[in-house]
Order: sequence, then C-alpha cells, then structure tokens
Amino acid sequence: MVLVLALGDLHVPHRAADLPPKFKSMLVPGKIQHIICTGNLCIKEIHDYLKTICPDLHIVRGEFDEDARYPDTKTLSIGQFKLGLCHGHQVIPWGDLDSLAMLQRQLDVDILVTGHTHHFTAYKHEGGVVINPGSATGAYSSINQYVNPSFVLMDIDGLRVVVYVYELIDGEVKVDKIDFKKASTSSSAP
Amino acid sequence: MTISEEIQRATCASPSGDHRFEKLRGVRWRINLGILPSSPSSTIDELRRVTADSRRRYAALRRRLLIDPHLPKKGINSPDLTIDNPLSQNPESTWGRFFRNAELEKTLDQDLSRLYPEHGSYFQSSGCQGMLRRILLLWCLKHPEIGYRQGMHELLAPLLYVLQVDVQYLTEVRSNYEDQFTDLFDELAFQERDSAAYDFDIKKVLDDSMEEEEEDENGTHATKKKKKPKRFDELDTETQTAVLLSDAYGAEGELGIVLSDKFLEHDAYSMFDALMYGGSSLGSVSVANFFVYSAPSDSVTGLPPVIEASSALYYLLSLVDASLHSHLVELGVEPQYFALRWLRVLFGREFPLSNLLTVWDEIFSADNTEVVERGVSAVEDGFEFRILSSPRGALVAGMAVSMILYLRSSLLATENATSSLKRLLNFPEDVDLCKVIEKAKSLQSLALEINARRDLLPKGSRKPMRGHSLSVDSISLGGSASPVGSVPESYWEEKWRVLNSKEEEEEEARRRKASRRQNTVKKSWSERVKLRLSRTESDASDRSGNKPPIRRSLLDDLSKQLGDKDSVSPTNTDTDIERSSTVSGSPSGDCEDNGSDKGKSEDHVELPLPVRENESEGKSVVNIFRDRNILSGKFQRFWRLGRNLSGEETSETKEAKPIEPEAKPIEPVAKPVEPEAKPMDHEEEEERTNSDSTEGHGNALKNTGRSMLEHIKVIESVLEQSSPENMADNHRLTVEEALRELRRLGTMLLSEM
Repeated sequence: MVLVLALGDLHVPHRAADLPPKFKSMLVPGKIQHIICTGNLCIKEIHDYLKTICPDLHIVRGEFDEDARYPDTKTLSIGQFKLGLCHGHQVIPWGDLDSLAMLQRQLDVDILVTGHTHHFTAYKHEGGVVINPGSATGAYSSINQYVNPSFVLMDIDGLRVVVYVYELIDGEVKVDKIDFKKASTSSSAP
Repeated sequence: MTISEEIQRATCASPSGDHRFEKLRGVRWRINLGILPSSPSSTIDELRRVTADSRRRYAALRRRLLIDPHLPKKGINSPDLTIDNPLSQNPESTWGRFFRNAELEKTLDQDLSRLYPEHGSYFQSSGCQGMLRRILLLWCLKHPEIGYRQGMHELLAPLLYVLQVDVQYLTEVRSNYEDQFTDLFDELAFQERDSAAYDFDIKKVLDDSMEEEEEDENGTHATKKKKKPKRFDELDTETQTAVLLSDAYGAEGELGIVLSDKFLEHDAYSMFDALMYGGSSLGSVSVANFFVYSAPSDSVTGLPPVIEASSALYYLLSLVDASLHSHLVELGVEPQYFALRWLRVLFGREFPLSNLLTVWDEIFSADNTEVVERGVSAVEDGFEFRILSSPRGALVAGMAVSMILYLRSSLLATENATSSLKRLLNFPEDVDLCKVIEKAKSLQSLALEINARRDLLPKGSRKPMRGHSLSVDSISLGGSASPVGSVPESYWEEKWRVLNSKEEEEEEARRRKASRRQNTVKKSWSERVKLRLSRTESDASDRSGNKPPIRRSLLDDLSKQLGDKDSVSPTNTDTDIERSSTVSGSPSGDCEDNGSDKGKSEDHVELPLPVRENESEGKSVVNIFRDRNILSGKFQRFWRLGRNLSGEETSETKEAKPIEPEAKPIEPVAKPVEPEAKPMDHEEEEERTNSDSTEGHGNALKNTGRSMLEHIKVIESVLEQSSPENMADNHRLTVEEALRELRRLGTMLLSEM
C-alpha cells in the first residue's frame, strides 16, 4: 500500500506559473510515501514545495533545471518493484518506446519513468512498464503547444501496481487506472 | 441437564450469585456484562445462541468497516475513478475512509505499543495487538461521537486477557481429558473410524484394554496422555462446564462454542461494547460517558459525567472521612485529577493485572441497573450523582473512596497538592486487596443511600457557579433538611443554615480539642463549611440547644436590634456581639466572589466565632482553632478590600448594634466608632492577619500594621471622649481590650516572622 507520485516537466517559472489549483488541492501531505520527479522543475522553490508533500523526493536532471547536482538517471526499489528514473531528453528519438525499452534494460528496472515529451503515455512492455507522467503544469513543449496538465500516482502493493493517471481536461480532473502485475521474481522466463 | 443444575447439585447455590463458571472468568464476565443471558436456568443452548449472534454481529461489522481499497465496492463493477482514486478529496470515497482509518490506527498504535509492557509477552505479541487494534478501530468507527480516547485500550486489554485465559484453561482441560472432547466409539476417534471403515486393528484394541488395566492399578491420578475415559458425570463440575462450553455441536456449529479461541476478537468486542455502554438505563455505569467532554443534556448538574462522578467520590469521602476530605480540598486537590484516570480505566492503571481482575470481578458482579427513581423531585432538590444510582456505580465509587482511605495516613501528611497527587496516582503494589474490596462494599451501600435519601444529597443550584470545583459548590451549598424547610435559596435560609453549621463546627472543635488531634490541618472556610455540613446529621443533637440564641440573633440583626441588646450584661457582651455579628454578616454560604460585600460578610461570620472560642476556652483552643479556622486568602482579600473600600462604618455599625447606646458617635468615616466593636474588629484583623501570614508576609505585615494603628486610634479616641478619671467602665474595658489585642498582635507578629 505504498503510494508513489510521479510527475515532472513543470517548467516553473519559465513556461508556467504554478501547478493547477485542482492538482494542488489534491496533493496533501501525509498520503504519499514517495515522489519521483522526471526533472525540469526548474527552480528550488518547486523542489521545496514537493518536499512538503513528501519528504522522500527523488529527482533527476532535466535540461532546464537550475540545480546542476541532480543525477541523470536514478534507480530505486519500492516494495517488490525496481523503478528507474530519467528525464528523457537523453533518449533519442524522444518518447520512442524501443529506445526507452533499451534504457529500461540498461537500468534493469521494472518500471521506467521518463518525461520530456509533456505527453502522458504508459506502456506495458516486455514484462515492465514504461510511464511518462506528462507535464504537471501543462507547460508547452518543443513539440506541442497545447498540453493538458497531468501526473501519475502509483499504488504499489506487493507484486501488483495500480497506476492512476490524473489529467486536467477542460478544467476537470479526469482519473484513469491501469493495473499491472509483476511476474514473481523467482519464476524463470518461460 | 443444564449446567446450573449440575452446579447446584455440587455446591449450595447462594441466593445472590450465580456460581457457575467459577473458573471461567471470561464467561462469568460476559454474563455480568449482559452479553450472555444471566438467569441461572439458561441452558447451554441458549448461551450458545447468544454467543453466536453476537459474533455474527461483530463479523458483519468488521466486514463492513475494515476497508481494503483494492477491493471494488459491492455492486459497483467499474468504480467511478474520480471519486475512488487515492487522492480523492471526496469524503465518501473508499480511499478517503481508508486514510481516515489509517490515521485512527496510527493513534491506536501509539497507545497499544505502550500497553502492559510488564506483561509484554502476551500483550505485545502481534496477534494480540492486531486483535486489539481491530476491535478498537471498529468500535470507534461504530461510535464516531466519541471516537478513540486514550485509555480505552486499557479497558479492552484485560477483557481480551480473560478470554485468552479461558481458552488456555480449555486447552489444559482438553489435554487432560482428551476423551471428553472427541467422540470415541470403539476406542477410535470418529474421523479415524470413518476412514478406517471397520478395518480396525484387533491388536490395537487388545493393547488398549491392557493399558486400561494397568491404569486401574496405578490409580486415578496417572499422568498418561491417554487416560481411561471417565464418564462425564464423574468429572468435576468445572471440567464439565468447560467440556460443555466447547462442544462444537448445536445449531450454530462452531460459531456457538462459547469458549473458542477463533472468536476471541468477537467476544472481546462484545464485552467491550457492553462495558462502554453498559445498559440502557441512565444510572448505570457506562464507561463511555466518562470519556465524553460535554455534559449530557439531561444532566442535573450540567457537568461532564466524569467530573460529576469525581465529585460524587469526594462527596462520599466527605461523608465518611471529613477530615481527609477537607485536607485534600484545602490543598486544592480536585477529585478529577486522579479520579479521571481511575474512572476512565476502571482502576486499570492502579493495580497489577491479577489484582485488577479480582477488582473487576467484584465490579462486574454488581448489578448495573439503575436502582433509584430519578423523578422530578430529585431535580428540584439539588444534585444527584448519576454514578451512584446503580449498585455497580456505587461500588466503583466505594472502591475509589476505599482506595483513598487506604492512603489516608500518607495523604494527611502531605503538604501540597503535588505530593498528594503523587501518592494517589502511584497506588502501592502490595495492597491487601480483600480489605480494600470489603471496605468498598460497605461504602457501596452508603453510596447507594445517598441517592435514595434526599436529605443526604447536597443541595444547591442547578448549575454550579463558575470557577469553583463542584465539590466546593455542591457541598458548601448543601445542608441537611433544615427546620426552616427546603425553601429555595434565600438570604434567610443560607444564613440560618450556615449559623447552624457553625454551631456544630464549634462543638466539633471542642470535642476535637479534647481528643487531641495530631494533625493541625489548615482549613479554609469553605472546607469547614463542608465539614460542618457533612456532619450535619450526626450533630443534629447539638443544633437544638443553640437554636434559640441563633434565632434571636437573626431577629436582632434584621430589626437592628437596639432595644434587645440593651439588657445584655456586659459580661455577655462579647458572646452576644459575636452572635449578632455573625448574624449581621450575611453568609452567602457559597464560596463565591460575589462581590466585596459578600466576602466581607463571610469573614464577619467567621472571625467572631473563633474569637469567642478564644475567650471562652483558652489558649490551647485558640491555637488549634486558629490553625484550623484560618480563612482562605481569597476571602481575606475580599474582606479587606470591602472593608477598605466601603469604609468600616457599615461593618462597624452592624457589629456595634448591641452597644450603641453606650458609645458616643465619633466621626464614623474611617474610624471605628464603637469601642465595643473594636475588640472584634481587632480580633478579626488578627485572625485575618494570621491567615495572611500564611498567604504572604508582605500582606500580613501591612495588615498587622494597619490593625495596630487602628488599635492605637481606638485608644486615642476613647481617651478623647473621656479623661482617664471619669472613664466609664465599659470604656475602660475597651481600652484594656485594645491594649491586650495590641500586645497579642505584636507577639503574634514576632512569632510568625
């Protein structure tokens, strides 16, 4: 019953002023155990704000981040799952599944979270999940001007992860859910 | 054949109790708490049925309220994700409830992790903790109006413990008398027989029969595992009970096994629920009420129940042991400081677990139904202590008071509230529990009487005054049935009652002086009033003798009695002055700061009395009395304030009524006019300063100085009036008195410093 928040590409203050108020009202401290952030916050204030939601914050460096000390990639283990984190501008073509799968194998993770495209996607691929939480503020990207704010909440419970996607479409929060069960680690590939 | 018949054959059934299940506390408590039918004739089947019902209820509750958000809600195939997502703000979402439960569980865990660390092997085990957590969580969810309060876990833990003990006893019995529990036909267990299908081993049978012969030779207390099966009737009654209660047959199947370790949680929940909401009648002890912060709407006193119960304790204590009671009150030890914990956990924190179980045996065996009719008359007359209206509540109160009495000697020796509370809250471990319980039972009957006999109740206004403990208010306002009648509070009645009480107080003082009290406990005026009033009944005889003069002084006061007092001889002057001045003061009876006037009058009332004692009895009495009758500082201050502000003339004129004719009116402004009044005045001052010195030396000094000045002024004025040669007798008396007072003041000052 571990709740993990995945978000990124906020681009505050350059491209957006702040998270949408509806998102902010949902993100109350105390419910979420981990935050993983794909990068491009870009300033320290957003970093601090995320810290108030949850003290356990993992963040990787996006190309516009002003703090240069964030790593390029990160892996962490939550419950039975291994998570990998990368901003995604390093993976070319941007948002391409096969290239991301390459990164996933390289990091050897079950769940890979990347961003940069500002577009939510979630693929089940080769026994793993590749998730792009989109842009939490709806900031424009280099390839897309009209972006819906979105973020992802993962509920990790043993060998099962439920991915909730929150999107702000036309001023309303829409939620969607994807179930994913990991094959038990001891079983060998058939 | 019912169990009760069996037992009654074996033991002679006492009229009061049900001797079934002597060894099975869990079952006994369940009966006492009302979960299982309590009539001795109920069959084992009925017991099973009730047990099964209560367990079913709990299981349904658990299924309903314990939430796993992963499971879809019943009836909804595709849950609406905008509501049911983890971050949803919607209060009805399953996740919302899940998070709320999680928070509640966190609070619970804080308490549970600290539960009974000395018995940690059981209580800290994860199984037990899990059960406790679930039970408490479900109970709090079911009763959101109270929620979880610290202390509930301590109530629940012993309940679970006794159930566990029962189950362990059962396993013990089972291991000893295994044959009773399995259906043996042809020396084989039922299951074995089925599977073996008559293909039994003849050798085995022969072997077993040989074993039997051996056992017979060895005697009945062979400790072999496979004993020769006794007949059911040969077992002792307790074992029989255990066997019957664990029988898996019956309409309810396994659910109906009264002693079952699978359903510990369910049973503990029902016991806990019954304890918290014990009975529907209002007078019963429902411990949940003790956790409520606000007063229930139909309460007479308008106080939270636990405060009311604490004051009931103190009232009972005052009836039984007034000196200890007044000592505690004077120290400022409000009853709820310690009674809160005692009542909320039913003494769970005061006794070690084994003693506690005995105590709870007693408490639970007391009937919980309300005994007294809480009619309209009760409401009119005054307070009624809800806790005392049932035998169980009365026993709880009696238990608490007997515990206080157990600590009597150490409590009387304490000097401040902190140390008293420390003694009370750290009840000694090695307690002669039987004695305490005996005393509690005797107090229980007294406590039950309190509510039954209206005349024992403290009378008072419905709503207690602000800013004072209930005990002070209720008891100081109260009083026994006075001859004036139970009229509504009036100036007259208060005065009269207080006067009566003062008379008794003096009698007591005299008596006490003779008996040489070792503890000269300082008491405030309020305490003494209480003391008086609590002893009202016993001092009834004293009252009668004093009525006429009191009544007379009452009349005197009202009519500004010049004429009557003229005839009073000078030798009696003081006495009568005392009386009239007591009367002249308007004792408000309650210890309120109702303004300087009242404060002033209170002191008026008080001081002359001790002074009279001084004159009549002598120094020893003075000392004792002075110690004991020292006014509390508050009233002092107000008296002083009133005096200084409103001028002394009003007080002096009142006091000096009897002596008017003699005194020549000097300017009444700030000078004490009547010479005769001086002695009292000074004595009052002296008393005041006595108490002041206990309050603060600065004030005392000031007052003493002031009084001395006044003494001097008096002498001067008297001398002014008349030259020493032709001074009237009474003037000379006055002067002498004044000088004496001055001297006394001086010595006292020196001694006090």
